[in-house]
Amino acid sequence: MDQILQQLINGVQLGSIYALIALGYTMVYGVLRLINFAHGDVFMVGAFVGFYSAKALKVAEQPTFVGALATLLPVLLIAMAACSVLGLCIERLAYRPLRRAPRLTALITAIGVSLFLVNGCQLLFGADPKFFPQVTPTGEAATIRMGNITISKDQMVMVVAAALLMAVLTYIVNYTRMGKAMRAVSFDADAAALMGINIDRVISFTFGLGAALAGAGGVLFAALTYAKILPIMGIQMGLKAFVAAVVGGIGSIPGAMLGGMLMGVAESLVKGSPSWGGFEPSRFADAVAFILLIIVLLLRPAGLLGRYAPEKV
Amino acid sequence: MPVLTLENVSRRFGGLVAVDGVNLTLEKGALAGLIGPNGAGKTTVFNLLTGVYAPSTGSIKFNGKEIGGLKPHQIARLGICRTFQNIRLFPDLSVLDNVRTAASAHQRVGLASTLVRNEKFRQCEASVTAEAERLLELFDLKDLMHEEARSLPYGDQRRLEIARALATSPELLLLDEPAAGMNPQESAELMGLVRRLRDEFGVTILLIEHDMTFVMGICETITVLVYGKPIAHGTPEEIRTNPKVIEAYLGKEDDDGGDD
Amino acid sequence: MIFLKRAAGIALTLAVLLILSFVLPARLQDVVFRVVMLSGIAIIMAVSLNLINGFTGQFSIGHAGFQAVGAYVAAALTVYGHQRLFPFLPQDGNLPATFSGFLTGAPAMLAAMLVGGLVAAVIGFVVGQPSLRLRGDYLAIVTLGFGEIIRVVVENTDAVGGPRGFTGNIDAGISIPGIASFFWVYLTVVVVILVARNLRFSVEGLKYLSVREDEIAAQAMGVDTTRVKVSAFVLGAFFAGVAGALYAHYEQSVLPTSFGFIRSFDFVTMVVLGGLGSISGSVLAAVLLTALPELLRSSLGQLGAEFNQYRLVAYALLLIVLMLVRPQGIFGRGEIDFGKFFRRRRTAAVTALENEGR
Repeated sequence: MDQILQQLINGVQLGSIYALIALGYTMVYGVLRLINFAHGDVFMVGAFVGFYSAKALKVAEQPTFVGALATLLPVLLIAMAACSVLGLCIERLAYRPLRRAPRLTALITAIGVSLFLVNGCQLLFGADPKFFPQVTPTGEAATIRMGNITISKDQMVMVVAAALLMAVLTYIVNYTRMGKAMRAVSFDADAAALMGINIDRVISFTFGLGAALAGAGGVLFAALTYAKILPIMGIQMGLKAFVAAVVGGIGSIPGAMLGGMLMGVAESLVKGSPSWGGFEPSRFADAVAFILLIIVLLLRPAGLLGRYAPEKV
Repeated sequence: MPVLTLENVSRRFGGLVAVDGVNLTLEKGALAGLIGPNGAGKTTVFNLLTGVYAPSTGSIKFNGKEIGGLKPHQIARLGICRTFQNIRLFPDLSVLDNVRTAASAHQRVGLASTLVRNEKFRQCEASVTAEAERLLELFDLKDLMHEEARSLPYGDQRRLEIARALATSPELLLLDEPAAGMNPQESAELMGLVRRLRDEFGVTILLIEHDMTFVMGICETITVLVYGKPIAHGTPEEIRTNPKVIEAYLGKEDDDGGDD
Repeated sequence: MIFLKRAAGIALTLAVLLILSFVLPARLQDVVFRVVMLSGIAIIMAVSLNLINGFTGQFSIGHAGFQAVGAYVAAALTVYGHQRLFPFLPQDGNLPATFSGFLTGAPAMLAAMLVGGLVAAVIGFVVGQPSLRLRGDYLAIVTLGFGEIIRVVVENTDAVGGPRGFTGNIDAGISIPGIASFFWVYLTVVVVILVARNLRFSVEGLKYLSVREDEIAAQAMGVDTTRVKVSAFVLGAFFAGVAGALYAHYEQSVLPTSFGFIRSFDFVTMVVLGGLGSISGSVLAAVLLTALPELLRSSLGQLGAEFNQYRLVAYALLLIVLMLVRPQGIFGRGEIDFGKFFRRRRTAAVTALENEGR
């Protein structure tokens, strides 16, 4: 039981990263009906920008939870700003000229952008992994114990930061003019244009917003899970986050959050499960996402919270 | 036995009732029209007949067989074919190949025969091509048969779409605004052609059209749909003078004009 | 008459392939022969992917996953079936470059190709059946995810070497036999091109193209689009599996990382570069993108290695720019005319068909 609870907590941590990235996929899909394959690589760029700005700012270990959060804040903001600029550029240069092109063309372009980012970063930063400097407290102060369950400060910082970002996003989408315009465009782009909404601006804004969240995800992931920062790190994370968006219902913002959490929890549970006579499920944790995807597509193609919209004839 | 019978057919999309209790019977060889203001649910009726949507309630019988809920290709093979309001040709294929694709609907060559190119394949290939060319001849498109479909002028594209639908050798042909965007001369020619299809091929035809000259000039019976409900059914003359229809199209006397 | 002509054609093709199979490795430089072999395998991959992406307009980006299935299954078959099925193969896997050596390897190679292809096809069916009912971009994700599942499974299967890769049954001292000669690779190349061509220029193939052109209209014309998509997918997966079997028995070692998404994207690049739907385009692009980096690396030495670093960035840029300025691919959708010989045969075939129709 404790084991399961512990894995649930780990799952929420992982899930909050998936959710942050999944939001970008879902928002862009909402307004453009495009799978922005390069989104996972924006997450990777976020991790690199975070790494270099943390070094430049001489980020150091903090004794407290709040201190760690405060120290990460400037790094987070820099990475988010850089990533949203990157997102805007990608949209402007690669996707906008193809707005009216067949979906296949746009999809291939998106893959091209993704490959460009991965291989470009490989050239720029080299292939050796980088590690984010320690920010959260270590040793005795690193964890909080509750019975047999431990929650690390890393996990707390991650979940709190992700929750704050998602709250801000929810506010923007639901209560600002731009957010309303976004929802209008994703409901019916042509009608929105007729109502005087500047579609180009809305789409740019959506890309910027999504990229900023992915950038934040990159920093949090690199800083708090001690993962290797590598040019290829975005591919798999991006894929899984996309799967999370599909599971939650692509186009639905609460769906992306829910899908991300579900994915994180499912993966953690499998990772933490004991072996069943020679078979060790934990070794197949990386495949969980895709098995989940196939199940959801079979049972509920529109995703958990999505609406299924058949093509108009 | 009637070719087509709709009994109390409805289709809901969430809260919206797009088609609401439609009853319709078509005898073999009928040439019927379906009219109504924009958004009345005419195309939805076509989509129900061709299996794009399944009816929420009611029954659709084609030659006595229930077809509501079948897949589009199954319905097409049973003998209902259609054209689309916003032309849906195979744009990158040649005019001939557009028609050949449809003409092969009833051919079962199979992948294996195709890959080894045996006798069966050759025979089928030849008969499909001959059939397609015959239809293109009839539709005056034979000279253009090697052009890409996308390069055709609009009127030709409309006619090609009808030729393609006919190539599946349907018993019931559904034409969704066949004369849309045609000039009066083209549309008059089309009228002649549609009549010929019925007379010479014995195809039962149901068409949607906004061009009243066209509908009144060609259809023997007309059904009027408003907000998904059938409000009138009769000969063109009866429809022309039906007060309910006039009201639906023009609004009541005391309304300030109708909205389209 | 047609039958005789065909039999003669087949016999001639087999003879030419067989002769080349002995001449080429002896005459060509090792590097060049390697390029020839890898190009052949790439052609099989690109043309079979073109059946799915180019003809049918679906978007599979996990083609290397099917190659992996074929490679591992086929290699496991020849290694673990060694004693019972192919006891005449040498344990170290190296056969003499003679006709008897060829004959010794032939049954094992044929079995490996068929089994590798069929298993990949079955998996293609299982993966394709649910996802092909959905909108196109979901397929992309499912195929990509499928490739990942394959990798995870392979890396955790100790019998095929796990993450270290598979070279044979080390305990029993049996290596993957090197039986994929020029003959087998290019026989498959000929077959896959013929299959694609026969499909492309036929009424049955029009069904595939119509799905690409307009799925809803295709359904309305009586095309069972799900069935068409699944068969394209299964056919493509089969040939990818065969290509995998050939690859494994040419390289005599397989690594799970050789079939990752980067590799899948290579094949997508080939198909797109060659023009979606163009068979000759796929062939040319496959050769070009295989030969160029290999030759540059070997002929330019240090400079070539450096070039290789930029290669992937260049591919990516190429893909983007191509989509922006020439989405139909460098060679377009049409076929390249390989001279009068083919043309005369084509027109002759068409007239023959027309005459029969009368």
